[in-house]
Amino acid sequence: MKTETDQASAQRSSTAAWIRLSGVTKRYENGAVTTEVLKGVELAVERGDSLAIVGPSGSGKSTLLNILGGLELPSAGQVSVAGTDLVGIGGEALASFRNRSVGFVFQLHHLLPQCTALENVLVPSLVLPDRSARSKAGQRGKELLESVGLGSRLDHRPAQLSGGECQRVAVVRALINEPSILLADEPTGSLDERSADELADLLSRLRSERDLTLVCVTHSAALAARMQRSLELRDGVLHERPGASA
Amino acid sequence: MNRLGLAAKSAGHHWRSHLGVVLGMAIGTAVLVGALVVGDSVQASLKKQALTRIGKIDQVLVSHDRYFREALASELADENAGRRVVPVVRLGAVGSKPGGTHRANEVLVYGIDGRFAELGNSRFDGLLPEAREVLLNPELARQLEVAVGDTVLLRVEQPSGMPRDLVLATAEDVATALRVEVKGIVPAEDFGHFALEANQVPPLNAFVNLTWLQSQIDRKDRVNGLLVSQSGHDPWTSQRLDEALAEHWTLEDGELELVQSWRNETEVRSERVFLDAPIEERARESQLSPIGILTYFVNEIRSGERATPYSMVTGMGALTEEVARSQFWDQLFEPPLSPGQIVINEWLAEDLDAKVGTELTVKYFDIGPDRRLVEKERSFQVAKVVPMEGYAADRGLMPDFPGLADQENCRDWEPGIPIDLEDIRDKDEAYWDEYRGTPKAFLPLETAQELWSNRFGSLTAIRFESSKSAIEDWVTSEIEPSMLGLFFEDLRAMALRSGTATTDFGGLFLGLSSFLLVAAFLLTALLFIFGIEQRAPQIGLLLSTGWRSGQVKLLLLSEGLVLAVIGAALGTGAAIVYTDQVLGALSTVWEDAVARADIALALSPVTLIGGAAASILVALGALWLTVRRLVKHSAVELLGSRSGIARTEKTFSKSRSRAYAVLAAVCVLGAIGIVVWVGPGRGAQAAGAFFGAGGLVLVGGLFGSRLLLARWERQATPESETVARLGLRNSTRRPGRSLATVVLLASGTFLVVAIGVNRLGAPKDPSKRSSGTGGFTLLGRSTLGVLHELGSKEATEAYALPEGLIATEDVVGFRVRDGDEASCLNLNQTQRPRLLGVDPDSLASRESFTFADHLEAEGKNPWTLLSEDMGGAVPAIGDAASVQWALHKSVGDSITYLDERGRELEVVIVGTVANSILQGNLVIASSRFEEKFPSESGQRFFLIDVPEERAESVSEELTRGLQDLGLEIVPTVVRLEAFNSVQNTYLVIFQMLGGLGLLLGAAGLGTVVLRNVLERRSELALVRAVGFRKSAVRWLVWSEHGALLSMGLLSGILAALIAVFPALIDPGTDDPIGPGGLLILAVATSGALWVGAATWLALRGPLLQALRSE
Repeated sequence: MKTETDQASAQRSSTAAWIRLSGVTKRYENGAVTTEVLKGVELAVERGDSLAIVGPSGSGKSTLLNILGGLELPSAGQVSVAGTDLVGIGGEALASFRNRSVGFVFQLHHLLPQCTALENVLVPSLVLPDRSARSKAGQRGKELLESVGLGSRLDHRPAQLSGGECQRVAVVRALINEPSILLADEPTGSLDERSADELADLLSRLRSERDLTLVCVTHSAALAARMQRSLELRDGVLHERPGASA
Repeated sequence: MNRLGLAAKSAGHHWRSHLGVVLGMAIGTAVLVGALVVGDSVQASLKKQALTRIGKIDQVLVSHDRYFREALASELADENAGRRVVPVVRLGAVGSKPGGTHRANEVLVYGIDGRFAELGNSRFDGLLPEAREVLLNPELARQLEVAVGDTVLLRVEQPSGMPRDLVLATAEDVATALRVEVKGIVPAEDFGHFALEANQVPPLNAFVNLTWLQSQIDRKDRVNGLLVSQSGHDPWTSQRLDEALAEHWTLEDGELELVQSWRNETEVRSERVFLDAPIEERARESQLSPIGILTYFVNEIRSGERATPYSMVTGMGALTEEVARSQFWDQLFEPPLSPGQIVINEWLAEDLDAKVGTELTVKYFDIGPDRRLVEKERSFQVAKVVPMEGYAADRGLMPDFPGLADQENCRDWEPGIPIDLEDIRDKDEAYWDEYRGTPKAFLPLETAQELWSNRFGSLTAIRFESSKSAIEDWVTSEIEPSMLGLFFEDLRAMALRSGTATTDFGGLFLGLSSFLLVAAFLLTALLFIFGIEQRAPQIGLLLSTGWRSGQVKLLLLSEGLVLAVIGAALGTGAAIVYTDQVLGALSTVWEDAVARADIALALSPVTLIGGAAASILVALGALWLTVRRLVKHSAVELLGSRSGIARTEKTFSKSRSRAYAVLAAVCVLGAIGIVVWVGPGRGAQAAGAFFGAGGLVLVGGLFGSRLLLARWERQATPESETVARLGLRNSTRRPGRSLATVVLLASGTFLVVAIGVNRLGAPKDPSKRSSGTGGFTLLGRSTLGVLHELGSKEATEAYALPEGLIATEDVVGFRVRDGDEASCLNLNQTQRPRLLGVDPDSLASRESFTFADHLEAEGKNPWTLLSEDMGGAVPAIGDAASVQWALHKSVGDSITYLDERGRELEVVIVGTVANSILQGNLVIASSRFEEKFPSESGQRFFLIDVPEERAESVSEELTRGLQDLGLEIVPTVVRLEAFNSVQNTYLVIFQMLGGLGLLLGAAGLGTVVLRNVLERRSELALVRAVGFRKSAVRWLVWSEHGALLSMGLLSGILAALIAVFPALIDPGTDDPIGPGGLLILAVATSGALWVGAATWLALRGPLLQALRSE
């Protein structure tokens, strides 16, 4: 049950928001049974902000993140991300949006085992329509990998990297096309504590260095604490978490 | 790195999981390319054989029984223009070893000289036969078991001036025996296989010295064949050669002669007694006031009690309106005779005591078909009695009847007809001495022609009131040699055309391999998709990073392309080995399929590359279908999946269920409808019905299976759940995978079972007239024409057969015009199949054979269609398989022949008989046959209907009695089996390749089982953890996959049973269920084994480990 205060708070500065969700609902139908996961979510995030979304398992956090990243569409409501209204723009435009405007980091790194670290990083750039942008991606990939401490691991395959290293490669892959938004779904979920801390540091550093808008879905209180804002998804709506601040 | 690089890397990285894909692809390519190479090899071998058999010959002129000047060859040749013309004598013969231990029928004896040897692609190695020497080809030498230096007897057809079918021609001395010594054996490549007809089976050739042969057959300086070889820049066409022939030919070449009559008229007559019809036709159109003469030998002229035996009667009349009248003419025919009147000479008047007005009866043998001796009579009233002067004393009116004209005494007469020499009186002898064959009576020409016209002509002479030279010019300018059967044909073009196989063996083997191909490519796609499904999260990642679904599909297809190219390259290499094996089988165990032809491997880069490219395309098509489905899933689903993609299909709605049920029913009912509508029979329609009905039932089975899966899925009844029920529900989790398995098994079962049923056995009851034997027990073929009707008194006497051996009604005889063998025993392209002429009523009254198809017969037996008037066209009936496969024709189509005079003859197929001993031939009415091919004397093909128990003795006696004519008799059942063996071999190949496909299909089932079980190891571990015994787990897996196996088998069996229903009730099929039943069992067992093996493999090892790793 949402409260007007919570929603208003989640929606603050909505007029200039870089990410804006308005009345977003998401329903899943299975035969005669309909499950409503999101029930009119309102959200506004400024450019360069970092935001943690927490909540119990099955509360719809990942669904919300997928909607933000254009991987899923809401059943109702409006979604505007980086100036693009995602509802009704079609599959091709959504793919293009995902390719250039957002970067995803998942709980599992999903690196291609057949490719080296650098090649994995370059996978999103392979479908850039601009040839010159594609050709520049290689250099950028190397620089990014060096910046995350993997300069000596460019030609290593995922099997030769540690879990934390793999996840760092995944982060660099998310940034290769220079998106303005980084969406992370439980990015530390499968890492040990130390690696998780390092990744949290990395995400914070990259956000500030690159003026990224960072939205992180996590169960980790430590990671959430590193974000400027923290919202809890409960009963299908977002609630501002008291005490969470940048 | 680019996208193709990524695809290549992926292909390389996942090589283990792709190994199966490459293997499947390689099998598919090997089969596909192999099939095409088999086609190429057959084609190349046939072409080589065709060119070997004709050597350097371009055109030929072959006259069956007309002998022309050998000098024509040199007159038409031009060394400077590179045109060689080689004269030959070509005769049918029966060969034997002295003592008769070994015989060979259907031997061809060629009289040749050095010019012939040069036509071969290599010379006879200096071997040229001298007098009494012979060169044999290896096949004939083998059959006679003779070697160089041995003696051989060749009984060659003795040319006859008068066509032997004429009752007046002598039926004796039809053959001349040549005793020759074997000088050498001429191998195939040295022109030993020289042949004019395109036939699979090598000819039996004997080459003897030309001059010597000419003297032996009494045809000095005469030949009956010209072979033309042209090496110049401007070779003549057949038409140009015909024109040159027309410029050079003389009367002698047309077996014509000019004689001066007592009135100084110029008379045209023929060595053949009757003048060819075109000469009469041209004379009637001329301005030369010709008089037509038809003189016939009658048995008796009677007036009451008095009779005059054996006399000549002449019909005379003007051929144009302008009559060359003379006092002599007026003496006979002025005033003109009415149709019932006759003019007699004084001698006859006196002998019969006849006067003007006396009624006379003339008895004569009718010139009917098959030398049947039917004595007829006609009464006339005497209109005039003329003195023995003028035409009435004209000895020249009698043509040169062989056996009569050259005899001093009547009692020495030896005509072809039986005469009673006792009837000849002294006064008859005296008449012969004084007047020879001077006619005793005269009729108007129209009346005589009405009585004695025949297929050889209707005049014995034409007289002109012009000079000899004028008439010679007239004949050679007005009559073209082709009208007399002398014309050139383009042998090289025909050989090259026939050198393309009747059947496109590439296409045929593709067809035969179709199921193997489908199975290989389906398995390839299945294994590929299994591999790709494992990497679903990676695909999800690509989608999530902005790859469009099209780009992902392209990436996966590129990976598939890499695999396909590798597989195709391996497969192309394997294809060469595979083809070599297939050709090996075709020359041994499958030799019947290519009629024992010698097929050598021929590799063409175009075929290899084209075949490989085609298989890559097919594989990519199959991969596209599977990849397309995979990428339909969202990135989120794909990212979230661990081992493959969970099914996201919506629950089967009730309306969808109803639609599927209706579709399944419609398919099955449609199939039944097709089967009932088409009914039993063979040919294109039956084949279409077979595949149409089978395909419909398979599709129906697919709908039914899907429906069943949906029903099992809905059956959520926790209180009555069993392990088996749980297994069934498991099969619904991946309906696509389950259905693919069902389809693979069903179509494989359908083909293998259906083919087993379609194998042709001996007819259940060969004595049944509706069976493929037509109810006949024996089939006979002779090398030389049998002139007497078998079973007749004349035949019994002439061939020294035991009295009462057979009756005329036991035998149906056919005249034969040799042509291409149009049965499945010949691989070459058949252009003009052998023609058989038969009395249609003889088959219609017996209702012999079962018609596969025919034109509307208005309720009468379809054999009567042969007598239909179709304008200029000739109706024909053939064996359905020959017509369909060898001729590529169907009922209503026509084939153009050349008749004996070189005129085009349209033969229309009006009916086809199913699975019969008539394979290889087209049957037309004997009346039409005689009209179009008058010089084909006697019958050479026989169907004999005697009880089974007498068959052997009849066969022995006939073979013995007619051995000089080269009669060979086989039981019809044996003949039918020889034909069937070809079809059955194809079916065996189809079945074998289909069986291999089914093996792959079963391997596919095994893979699916293995995959399903491996994917669910954790689930299976869980059921173990909650207390299931290992056997219960196995039962769980079994019930799921056993259900798929059963669905596949049942659909396949149902499809097979419905599709082959017509064959089950076809009289030509024997015991159709037996082999099918065994195969079903074999398929079921193999399927069960695969399921068992895959289950064992998947469940071995500590299962609970899987739970922990989860």
